[in-house]
Amino acid sequence: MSQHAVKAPPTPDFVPTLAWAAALMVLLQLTGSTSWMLVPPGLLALGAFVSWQRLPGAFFASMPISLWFETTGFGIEDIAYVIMMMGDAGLPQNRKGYVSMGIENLASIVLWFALGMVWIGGFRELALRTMVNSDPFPGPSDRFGPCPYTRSLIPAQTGRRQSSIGLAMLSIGILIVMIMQFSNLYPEISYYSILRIRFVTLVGGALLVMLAVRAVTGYLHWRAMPQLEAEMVLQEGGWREGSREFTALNRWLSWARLSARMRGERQWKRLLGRRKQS
Amino acid sequence: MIRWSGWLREILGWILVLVGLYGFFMALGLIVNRQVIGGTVVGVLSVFMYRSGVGFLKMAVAARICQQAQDRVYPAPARPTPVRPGRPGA
Repeated sequence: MSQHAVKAPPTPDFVPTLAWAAALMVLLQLTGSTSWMLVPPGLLALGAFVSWQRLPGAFFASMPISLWFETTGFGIEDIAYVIMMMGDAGLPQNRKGYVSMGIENLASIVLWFALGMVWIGGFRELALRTMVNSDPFPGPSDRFGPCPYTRSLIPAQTGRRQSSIGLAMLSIGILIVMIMQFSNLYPEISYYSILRIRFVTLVGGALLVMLAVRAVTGYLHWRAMPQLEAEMVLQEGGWREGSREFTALNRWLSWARLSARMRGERQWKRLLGRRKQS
Repeated sequence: MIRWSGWLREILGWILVLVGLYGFFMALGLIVNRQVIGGTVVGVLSVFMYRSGVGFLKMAVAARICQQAQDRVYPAPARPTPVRPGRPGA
């Protein structure tokens, strides 16, 4: 009977999910004009409790639908109001119309839809299952036992990689807000200038935020590294800094050993030659 | 001794990282203002500074962890307690 060490209970899965779903909700609502943009992060928050493995697919699939309805200018509350009034009150005024979709909206919808379809197709889950099945886990107590990947495959969970995914999603949301802010700040300049500013803000801002997030998460990651890993890091750093000197030293030692061996062989040959002569 | 140098390296690493990020931000501003070549040069330099800072940080943290392990395995010898002279007549 194997004895398992008692560990501290881990943080519940829904805590980080809820945190970044709430942040994403706020950010998306800042960029959207209707309440449709609350649907995708709401799905995320819901899935945090029910631990639904198809949740990322539902999230990505709901994004184009929400964007589509966003273009109409009618929110969920407007539609609910119309349904409750049985159409007598009519639609609220001062809206854009039903669907006013430009090329940017269309491209955005298509991209989100493709991403959702790929995720729904279970590419990540399929890859993980295939990897685990092809190489069974030779555990210490249960050799070639059951699959060790017991966690559900939702993106935001406790753990280093999942936290970085959450941070990356947050940074993308921040970027969206930055782009909207920049484009609103310069309403009088030309369309191509706005495009350039958007592009630079998108690409450069993404890099900037990613670098900052990577520095912080990397530092936290390194602080938790075990002693063996720290020794290997130091060895690797020492080799990187002094590989040329080490190589020169090793070459000198190799030549010294070789020359000593050749010298010894010459001495033995000389001794054997003297014995034959005598 | 290595303890203080480790902390100094960490602080230096963070300074380099922050300077690199600020330089990158400046490069973005230059590119937005159509100064693409200047922005590219500043951006490349900033990336180098950022990478150097990250390397500094990583090595400093690794050295600190190794030093802590050394201190646990080989603790510093305790100071010998001075022996009091006995009381007269005791």
